[in-house]
Amino acid sequence: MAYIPVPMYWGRIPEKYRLIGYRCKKCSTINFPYRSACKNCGSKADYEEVKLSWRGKVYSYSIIAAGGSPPEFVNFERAVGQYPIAIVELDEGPRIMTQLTECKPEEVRIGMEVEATLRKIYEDEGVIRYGIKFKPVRIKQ
Amino acid sequence: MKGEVAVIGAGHTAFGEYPEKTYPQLFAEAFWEAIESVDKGIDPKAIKAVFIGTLGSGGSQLGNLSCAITGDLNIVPIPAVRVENACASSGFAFMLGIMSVASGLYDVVLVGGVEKMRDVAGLRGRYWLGVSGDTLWERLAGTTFPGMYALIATRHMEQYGTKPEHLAMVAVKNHYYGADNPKAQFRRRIDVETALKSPMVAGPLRLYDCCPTSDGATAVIVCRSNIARRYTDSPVYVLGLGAATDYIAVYEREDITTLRATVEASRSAYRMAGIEPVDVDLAEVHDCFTIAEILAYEDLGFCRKGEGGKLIEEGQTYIGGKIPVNVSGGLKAKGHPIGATGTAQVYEIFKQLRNEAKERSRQVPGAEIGLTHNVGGSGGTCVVHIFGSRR
Amino acid sequence: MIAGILDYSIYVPKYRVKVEDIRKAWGEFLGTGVSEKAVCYPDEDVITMAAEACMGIVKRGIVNLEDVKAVFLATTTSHYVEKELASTLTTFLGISKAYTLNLGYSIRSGTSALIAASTYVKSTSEKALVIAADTPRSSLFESIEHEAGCGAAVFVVQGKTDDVVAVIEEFAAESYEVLGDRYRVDGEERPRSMEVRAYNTKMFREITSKCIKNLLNKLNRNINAYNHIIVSPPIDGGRISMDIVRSIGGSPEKVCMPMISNIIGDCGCATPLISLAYVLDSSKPGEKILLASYGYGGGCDALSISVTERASDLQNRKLKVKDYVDSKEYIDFKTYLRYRNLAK
Repeated sequence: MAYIPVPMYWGRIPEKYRLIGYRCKKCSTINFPYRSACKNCGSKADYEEVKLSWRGKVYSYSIIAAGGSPPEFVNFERAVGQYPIAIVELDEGPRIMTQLTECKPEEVRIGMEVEATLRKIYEDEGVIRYGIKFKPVRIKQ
Repeated sequence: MKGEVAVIGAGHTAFGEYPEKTYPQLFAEAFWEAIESVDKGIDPKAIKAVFIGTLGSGGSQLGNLSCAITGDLNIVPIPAVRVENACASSGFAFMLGIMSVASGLYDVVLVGGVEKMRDVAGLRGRYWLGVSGDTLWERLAGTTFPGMYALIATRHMEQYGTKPEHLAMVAVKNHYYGADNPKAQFRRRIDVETALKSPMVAGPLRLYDCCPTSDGATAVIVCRSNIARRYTDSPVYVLGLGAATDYIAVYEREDITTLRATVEASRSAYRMAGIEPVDVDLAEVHDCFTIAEILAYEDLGFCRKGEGGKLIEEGQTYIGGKIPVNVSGGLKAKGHPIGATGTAQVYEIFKQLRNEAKERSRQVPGAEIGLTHNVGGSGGTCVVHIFGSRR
Repeated sequence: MIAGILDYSIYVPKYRVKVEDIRKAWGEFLGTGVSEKAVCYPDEDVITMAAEACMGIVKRGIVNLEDVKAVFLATTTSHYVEKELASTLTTFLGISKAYTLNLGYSIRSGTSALIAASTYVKSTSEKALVIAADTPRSSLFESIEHEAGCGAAVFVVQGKTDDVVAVIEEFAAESYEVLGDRYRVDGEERPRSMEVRAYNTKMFREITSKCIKNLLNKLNRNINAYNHIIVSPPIDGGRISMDIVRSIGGSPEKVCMPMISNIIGDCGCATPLISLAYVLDSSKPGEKILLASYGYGGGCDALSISVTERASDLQNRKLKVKDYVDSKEYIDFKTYLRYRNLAK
């Protein structure tokens, strides 16, 4: 059975809770998520932590219907029905794969503006794994 | 390496749902069919090594599957290895198998794959459908396999104007040929309207855009080309091979409308074989989803980037068109037992290049050069082989 | 002077259900004083609501939450009964070396957290974060479920009172045994009540009035010195709150009514702090606010708050209480059942 162990999830908390990006000290490219060698220049990981802006635009998306969701999302899917997933391009450049929450399937467009929010990703043996999802901008500022 | 290794036999179980057959039984079926397909006969003891591709769906034998198989077939103590690269497992097993022969280490090698996907159902089954993507980001965004290709499809439609109808046409073609293939899981033809009305799985991909889950096994016997005549007067030669990786997750790639691994792998294969895409007579490509076949047309060089929809619309990938693709029915209609697909493609090319497709409607007339294209996950791994009836 | 309020923010989920729709679909509405209420999306809980409320402070940029050295988190509807709750939030906000206190057990815990934080910062030169978040729930046969809403409120306090928008001048409290007015037993999902209405109301009145009088005595002040009076919870549509104020000699018009909970529902321990935020959003420099918050079982907190000159900046704040309350989308009864997982 495929399983995500707690240490694996916990190790990525800076990205999953805080949307921390990693700026390569050699070429200034922001890597997100963490990789062992810079995505741009290939140098061994030597980064400066950077807080990303929590805003982005939808680059591509799909509406997941019943049967297309992993077991971790069965309860969520039962409650909300079909839900969108998307590749979101953050304001600073990196792309991230995410679920779009509080978003009707008909609403999603390529280029739609979205903002980050901390939500329950799933629960396993009573332990809730929180993480960042994206949603349509709720209150314009 | 060009032409150093030849395929002399191949076996392929009918793909579908076989609760009564265990994975060793399925593999044995393919194995015996491969042995019996060798024209001048072959003693199983001639085989010197085994490479088996499987994901291990269901988890019943995750460790040491290779010797579970050699033991079951009573071919111990020859060396054996399980190869895993998601859906490209047996394609890569084939690559390693022919490399081991070309190196001079073994002269006859057995390569194959097996998968039992239908034994686990419901939530347990769905766990296995998501393991070939990036766990932390793709899976936890709430998607399994269809969602990843759906993201690619959405973008391809946005950038190139590809339509749902184009996707449906791929499914129609593959069911058209699958109906004539006794090894295929689905034997019924469909039309575009049926495909377009089927339930959404991961928008824009519908039920008929997705390959099924399947039980099945395939096996292929390869040997050094200069001893092939011992076994058959019509060996099929491996003219080229190429393999590549790309970022495992779709979102990590710069242009998600192309599978860079396919582009790189096929370039290497064409170069080794000394041919161009236009020289290929037929191709077995990796259509785990209809959009994947459209991408394959472009990435393998059969048409320009973005014109994959046009190629299927013009009927150019049917027999009689520019480049017949998936006349076996493809993964879509033939079935996709993950570990067995790579060598299933080799089986088809082997039969076609020897003019042996029993169902004449599926035989590409005068086929001399064939290509197999096997992809792992959403494009993280890819291996391409080019075969010829002449060395 | 005890402490100053540097900034504050709230969060209410986007989705609302109308009481009319519940009445039509269920056949009756068992609550009072509510016309519509907020509903958590299936991936929200008290921790995510608290995080969102904190993001309001982060986005406004007046206070850098990474400077905070203590977090006081109050909730009565946590997923866990044993686990450090505030650690998710300190990690989320990037706060290190923080003293954290997880409070609960009563809907008074929101104001208790504010008081505890205020006394903490008074003796240190640090800033503290106060968070109250709740999503009450029960069965559809209980008035608690019918009135239940959800929300979170966040306040940042410090000992020094320069640059603050409001000052917490004084507090008072009262504690006395009350049996069976509202309680939840360990292992059970739903709060219960023995529903001895007359007794419950009497204790609410007595304890709250005593507490407010204690506060007024400490400050040697009359209740009419206050421009805004909040008495939480607004039992029976707030009628009892007004009676309490009247009985102490105050004018019911100054009682903050309706108390926001009429349109977002009962937010448990967050209710008094959301109401305080709402009042602060539109109060004028120099005004005084009295906040009394009763907890079932029984006890009461009362705070005296004075609005400063800096409060005129309040009128132009981004992300005011009204912004969250007004940005909403209605759902129907069957969606309400699915989101709250009531169809078990």
